[in-house]
Amino acid sequence: MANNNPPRNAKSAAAKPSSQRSVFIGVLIAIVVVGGAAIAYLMKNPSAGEGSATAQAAYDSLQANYKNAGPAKPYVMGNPSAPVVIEEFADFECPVCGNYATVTEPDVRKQIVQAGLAYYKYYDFPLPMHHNTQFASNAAACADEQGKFWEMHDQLYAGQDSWGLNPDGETQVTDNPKPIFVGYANKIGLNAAQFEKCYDSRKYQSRVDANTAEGFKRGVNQTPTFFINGTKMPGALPYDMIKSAVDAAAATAAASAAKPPATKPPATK
Amino acid sequence: MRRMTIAALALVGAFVALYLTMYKMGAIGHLACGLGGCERVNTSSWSIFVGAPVAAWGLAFYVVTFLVALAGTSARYATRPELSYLLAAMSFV
Repeated sequence: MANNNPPRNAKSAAAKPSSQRSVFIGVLIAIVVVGGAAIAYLMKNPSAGEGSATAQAAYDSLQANYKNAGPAKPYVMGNPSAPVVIEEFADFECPVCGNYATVTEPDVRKQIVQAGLAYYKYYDFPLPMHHNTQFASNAAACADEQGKFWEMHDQLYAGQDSWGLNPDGETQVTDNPKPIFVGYANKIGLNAAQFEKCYDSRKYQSRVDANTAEGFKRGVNQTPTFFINGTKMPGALPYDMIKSAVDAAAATAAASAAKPPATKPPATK
Repeated sequence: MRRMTIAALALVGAFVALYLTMYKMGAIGHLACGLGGCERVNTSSWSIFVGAPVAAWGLAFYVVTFLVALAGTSARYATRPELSYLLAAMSFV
């Protein structure tokens, strides 16, 4: 006898995909709710997260230390009347800054600054977790006293491995970077005695502090951070991104500088 | 069931990528990661690809994967192998 009735378990078999789908939709909703809530929480509490609460506290207390700093005095390069100003806030001990300084910056100097497209300003922004960075900023300021800031800048970044962070990213290669900095001073042709006297006195600490304070005023919270004609661009930007930002800023500056032509009737002959 | 799993995992991935993208854009101040080094990676020159943050590319990829896998769970496409081929092809991207 033919059995036209559905098998006994057909109902449960049909119900299985449906219940599976309900569970699936429930899981998706749970992911959206949990993920959305986590991101909303992190946006509202930017200091949330392992280890970062300490960093944020250090940032806040550091910022408070710079309240009375004087006006910033960045180190400059290029033509001051160039249509675009590139400002860099960087930390000599920051590996990302070192990557930018050694890989990207040579092109920026040659193709943009020396080509007259932009004026370059470098501000110290020593981060609190880098123990030797203040010393490095002082060394650079002392080199600037003898007109060789950029030469020392290049030595410091190229030689980060000799005086900065160990590969673990936490500990320092040395507690006493002075002999290395004096070595750089000799290498770039500074008067070593004058450099050492300057370095030991930390006479330019107020300049370093003022440059740092300028970064805090402008909301810098990572290094390097760039401002291209005032537009904030954090991170070690690749050359192409800097060049296109400079071109865009130059175009905007040119457009705003060009006065609307006076309406004249067309010349008739 | 497999497509459902892929869709769910892609959605989780999309939120992680969204988090990293928002950090890159400055909407989130610090990255939370146990081993450290995330901020160094995410601020390095390798964090940009073809003019956009790598995290943003990841976000786009996860969203597309999620949508394809989600479509594959519907009754209309449940028995169609094309979406499985597409997901497999996307895994090589």
